[in-house]
Amino acid sequence: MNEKVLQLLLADDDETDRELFEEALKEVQPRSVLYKTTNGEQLMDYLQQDGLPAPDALFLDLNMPRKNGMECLEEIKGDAVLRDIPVFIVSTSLDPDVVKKVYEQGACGYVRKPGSFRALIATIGQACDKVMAGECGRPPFEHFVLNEKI
Amino acid sequence: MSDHSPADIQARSDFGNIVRQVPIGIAVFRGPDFVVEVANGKYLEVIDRTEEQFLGRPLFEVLPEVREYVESLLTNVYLTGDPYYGFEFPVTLRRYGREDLTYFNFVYQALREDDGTISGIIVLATEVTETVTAKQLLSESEKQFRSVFMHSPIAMTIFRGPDYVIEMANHVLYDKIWHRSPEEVLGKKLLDIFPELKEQKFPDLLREVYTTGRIHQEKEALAYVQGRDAMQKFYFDFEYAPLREVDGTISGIMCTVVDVTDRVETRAKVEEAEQRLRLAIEATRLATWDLDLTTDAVTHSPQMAMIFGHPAETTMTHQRLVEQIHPDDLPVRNGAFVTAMETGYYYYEIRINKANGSPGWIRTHGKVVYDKDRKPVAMIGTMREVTEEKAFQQELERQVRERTAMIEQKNQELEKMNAELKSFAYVSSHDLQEPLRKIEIFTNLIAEGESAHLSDTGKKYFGKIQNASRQMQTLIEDLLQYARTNTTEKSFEETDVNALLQSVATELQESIQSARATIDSNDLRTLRIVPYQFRQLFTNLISNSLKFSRITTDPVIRVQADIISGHADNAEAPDSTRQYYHLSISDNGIGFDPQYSERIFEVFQRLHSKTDYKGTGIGLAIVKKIVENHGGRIRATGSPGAGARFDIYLPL
Repeated sequence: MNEKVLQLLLADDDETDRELFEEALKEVQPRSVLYKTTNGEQLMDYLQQDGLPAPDALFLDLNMPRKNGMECLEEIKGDAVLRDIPVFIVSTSLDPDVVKKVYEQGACGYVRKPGSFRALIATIGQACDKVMAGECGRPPFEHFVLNEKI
Repeated sequence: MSDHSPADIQARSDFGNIVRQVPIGIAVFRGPDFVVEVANGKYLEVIDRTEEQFLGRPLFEVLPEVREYVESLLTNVYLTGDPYYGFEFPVTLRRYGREDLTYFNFVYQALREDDGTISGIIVLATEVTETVTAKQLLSESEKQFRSVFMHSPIAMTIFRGPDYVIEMANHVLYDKIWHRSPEEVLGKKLLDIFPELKEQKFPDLLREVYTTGRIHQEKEALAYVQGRDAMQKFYFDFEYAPLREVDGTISGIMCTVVDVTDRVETRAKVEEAEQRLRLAIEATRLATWDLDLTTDAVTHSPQMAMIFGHPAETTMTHQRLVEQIHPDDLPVRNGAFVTAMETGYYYYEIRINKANGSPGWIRTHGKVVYDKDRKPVAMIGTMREVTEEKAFQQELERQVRERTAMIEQKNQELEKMNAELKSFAYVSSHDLQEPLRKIEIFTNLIAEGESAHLSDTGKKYFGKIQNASRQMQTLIEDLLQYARTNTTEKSFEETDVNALLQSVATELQESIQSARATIDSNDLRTLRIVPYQFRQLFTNLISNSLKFSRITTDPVIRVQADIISGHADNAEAPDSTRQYYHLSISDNGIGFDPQYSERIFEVFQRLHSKTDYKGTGIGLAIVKKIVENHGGRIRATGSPGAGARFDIYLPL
């Protein structure tokens, strides 16, 4: 149905979450390619390697060791080359202040890690649809969090 | 007289000689034309004429200037024979080459012939011009004396005789001191008029002057004189001077009085003020000093020596003072001196070493004195020992430092605690929720994909695991909510409370409908609040009412707002000077026992078992915290079976 092969990058220190994410992504986009990094530093190193194509979207966990998601987002948005990569924030919590901050820093969506696999699939599906459609500008704030009301 | 015997002739010649030589002017005028027959030497001398000029000629021919004075007198004597006595009789004579006003005592006596007819007049005259002039001068000077006396600005009076009869007194005395009229006092005895003097020293003094003749002078003597209404207190400079008769006996006393009451009282006031100042200076132990800038000479009050630890009578030189200044503080004092030369004002606080070696603090204020060329010539000022003050101040500063350090430490502790709390919140939000979410995900996965492999008991247990993890999820979320409500970050906005309630009702629509509940409200106004917190407040209170509704009655939740004035009787709105926004939310639910009206706001305080009513016991605690965040108070009232009511008061 959709021929494009999505190249996605996930930064999450939690192994189970990485696995769940990958499982769910396979359900949604079987042909996509997922690159995984386990902390902020690794993520930034990866992004700054020469010659690698930029991913179609980045899923960024906030709570990571060494360099957290907030810092990574700031660096990415401050970098002329990287700033156009769509960034989805992935987090367990939903602190309104945090949500507001990452919205202002230019993330294009916020995914609250859901309590069921089914919900996870739905949410990743939503995110991928956006990427495919190229609708990764800044959404209205009320649509910023993909899977919950704030 | 025609027969002249030789003896007779001799006798007549002798008489003529006598007549010529007596010091009384004698002349004889004959006939109605007053032909001068005889005039002696004295007479001729007085009228400055010679015998040749005068004798044998009518009087008014040779002495025409006297006609106007004496012609009628002479004629009258000649015609009547009545003698005429002139006393200090003025006549202007042309003599010694000028017109002279002269005075004479004289007698005109008719000369009769043997038959009694009057044939001439004999004149005996003594010139008294000098006496009269002297008398006139005397009376003139008396008049002048009197005038000076009366108009003198110095009060004067003369007492006559040993009873001091008041002979005269001048205006000043009458008006300013005695307050009596001349009629009241003149001719009266001094002590009868002023009996109050008897009790004072004046009678003794008068007697002394009167008996010894020595002048008595006194300055600023205190005297009480009865004025018109009351006894008046005076201070006088006065003099009693004896008045002597020609023979030297004392017949009276002249008294001069200067009223110096004002001067004395003013000075007394000045002295009193000085005294007071001195007392104040001594009481504050303030030393005064002045420094001659040209010679470096210091003069100072005894207190200054005492400040430096010397006996009061010690004289401190500039050098000595400088030597006793704490060496480290010399620059402070020198700097102050430089500043004083620029600004004219001298001030410093420095340490000194007292004579006995103990340390002290002094404080100096001074002013520069300039000469007319604006050149500084001296400094005057005060010095005070401030050792105790300094010690007190330093102790105070030490205490403040100590307290500050303590507060800082507490602050750091608080900050640390805050940070810990924040990290707790963070840990709660992430690290507690992470495993929980995974339990949820995997129990779900098992329930969906693997439930066929489970027995009924296994399924039941599985359900319990899911319930427990959901409950824990709620608990963590509520706790987080509570912690977040605590934060200082408040964004107040003017908010339409009606719309806010409406949106909460919409959100809770499902539960409201399933409970068959209705929400009544009046106009809730607009209010400056933190909207998301108030949303939470409504959510929690309405949820609470829905939860604790009675099965037998459809819930009715009433939300009412009004503005009230504060009143001391209202514990939640006690300030009578303020207005309060009063919001009440009441229901017809199961209510609660009034004894729990406070406890229901505490975290984890539940009045009912979890099986009866679900909940974490945090909802009302959050409500209370939100109200407090808005500066307000909340009160819960209710009784079992009669519904609950929450009254919220926010100061406007």
